[in-house]
Amino acid sequence: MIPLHGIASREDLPLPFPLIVAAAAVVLVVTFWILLFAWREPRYRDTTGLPMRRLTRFVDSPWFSRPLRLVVGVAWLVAAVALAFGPDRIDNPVFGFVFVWLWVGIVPLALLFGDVYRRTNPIRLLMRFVGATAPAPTTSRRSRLPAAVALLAFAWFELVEPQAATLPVLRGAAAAWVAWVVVGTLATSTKWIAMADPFEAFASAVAKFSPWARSRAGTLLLINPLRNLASWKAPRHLSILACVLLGSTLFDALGASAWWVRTFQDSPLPPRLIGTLGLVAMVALVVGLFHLSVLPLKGPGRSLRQTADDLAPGLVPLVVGYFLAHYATMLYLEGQRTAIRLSDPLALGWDWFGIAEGGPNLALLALPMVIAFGQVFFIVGGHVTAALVTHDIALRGLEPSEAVRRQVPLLVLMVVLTIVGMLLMFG
Amino acid sequence: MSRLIRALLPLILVLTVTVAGCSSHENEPMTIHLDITAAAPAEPAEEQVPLGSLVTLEVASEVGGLLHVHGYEEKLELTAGDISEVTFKASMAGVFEVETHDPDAVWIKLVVS
Repeated sequence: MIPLHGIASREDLPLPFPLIVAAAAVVLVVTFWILLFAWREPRYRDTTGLPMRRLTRFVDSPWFSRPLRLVVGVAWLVAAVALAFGPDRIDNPVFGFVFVWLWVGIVPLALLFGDVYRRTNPIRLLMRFVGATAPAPTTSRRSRLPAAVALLAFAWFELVEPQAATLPVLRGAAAAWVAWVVVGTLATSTKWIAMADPFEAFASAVAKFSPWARSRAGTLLLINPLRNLASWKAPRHLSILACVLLGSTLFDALGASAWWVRTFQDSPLPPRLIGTLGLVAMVALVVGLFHLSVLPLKGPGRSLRQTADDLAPGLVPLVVGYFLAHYATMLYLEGQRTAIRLSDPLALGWDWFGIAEGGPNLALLALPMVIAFGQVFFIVGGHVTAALVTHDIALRGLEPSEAVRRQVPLLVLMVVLTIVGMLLMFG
Repeated sequence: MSRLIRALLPLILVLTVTVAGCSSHENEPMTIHLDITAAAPAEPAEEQVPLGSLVTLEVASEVGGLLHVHGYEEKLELTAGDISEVTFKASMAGVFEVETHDPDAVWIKLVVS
């Protein structure tokens, strides 16, 4: 018997404490420098950038989009076959496909290449017959609440459900996801996919932090990612979506901390109940604190919900930075192992890509200092860009001095979240 | 852009020097002894291993089964009342769990740094 266990086979070393102190100091100084000395007029109201007309024609042509969709569709098909017929062991590639390639890979993919996931969403490919693949140049502004609920369910499945890495349970979760999006689409319209598919909603939000945008006419723009994010006319309930992502990543770190394990390992309550309560409480806490801290920025005639959604793009870099700091080495190691396992999806001794013999490349993992500095770079970089985007959005429609005063609670919250996030990585 | 690169140059230099200083050491081979009992331990033992050293895991077990070093994906067949060994090069930094599934337990947290 080959043992069955979670997909994450190693943890990064705890961050060195002096590095955390230095990073926390940088976070504090830069945040308040931005608040007090950065620009006083909003800079990034409009989505303007360098139009790339030839690239747009190429990317939108069937010569590009058909092969791209074919490759992505085949990869999903192989994963689906492994899910249906593969062995119930951790070396079944479907686990790595879902928890590493999909869930973690989505972030660097969207960050580098923009809204690729939306164009290759397997459910859109599946629902081609109702026109789900028709290219829409801009993402819709409809409520993301259904997607936020689905993301919370996925986070629960990944972080709380002890049997998540077993085939029958993963089959149930996959069926629930497909049913959620497909049935909703058939009952309403294809607009449901953007509102409700957790992976597309997540990928589209991160894609707004990429250097790629579309003009109103649909031309691809090469754009400053800060401008891309800050000029986003955010969809309804983006704040809930962002808080779910932030809360669940924080819960992931909290649940792995020595304090949590020590407190709850001998508890008489069942682990599923403790995990569920912990996850929901963490998300509720982030939602509550975020709404509380945007309260001073509520303009006349704007509801608290609208104000929170207006400012929610500022949370995206926090999510991205934390995700990369936390999961980049997992993507590196387990991502390679998933590729190797995918070349033999049914465990029949195949080696489609001829990579089984060599095993994964481990060079990066021999450089713990590079990993530690990389993690801190992602967290601090995410925080600084988050503070800049928030600052720019908060300046709109307010007197400069007034705006500075009113964004203090929000920036303080962001500093606290960042430093707590780093301390959790310290162990 | 070139101004940005020039501004970041000192940082890159410092990083390179730090990294070069950290990654170039050869270490003595080491042996970790582990006793496996029918009952799971309250807490796993923490073992510090220098990066790059040759590690031999020497396991005396009261039960049969399979021992598994996470991450390195090393497996060791255990026989009740016997000593078995597995040797591998600790070439990846990080924290790795050494576990069995019968009893379901983590025995060692291997800290490679």
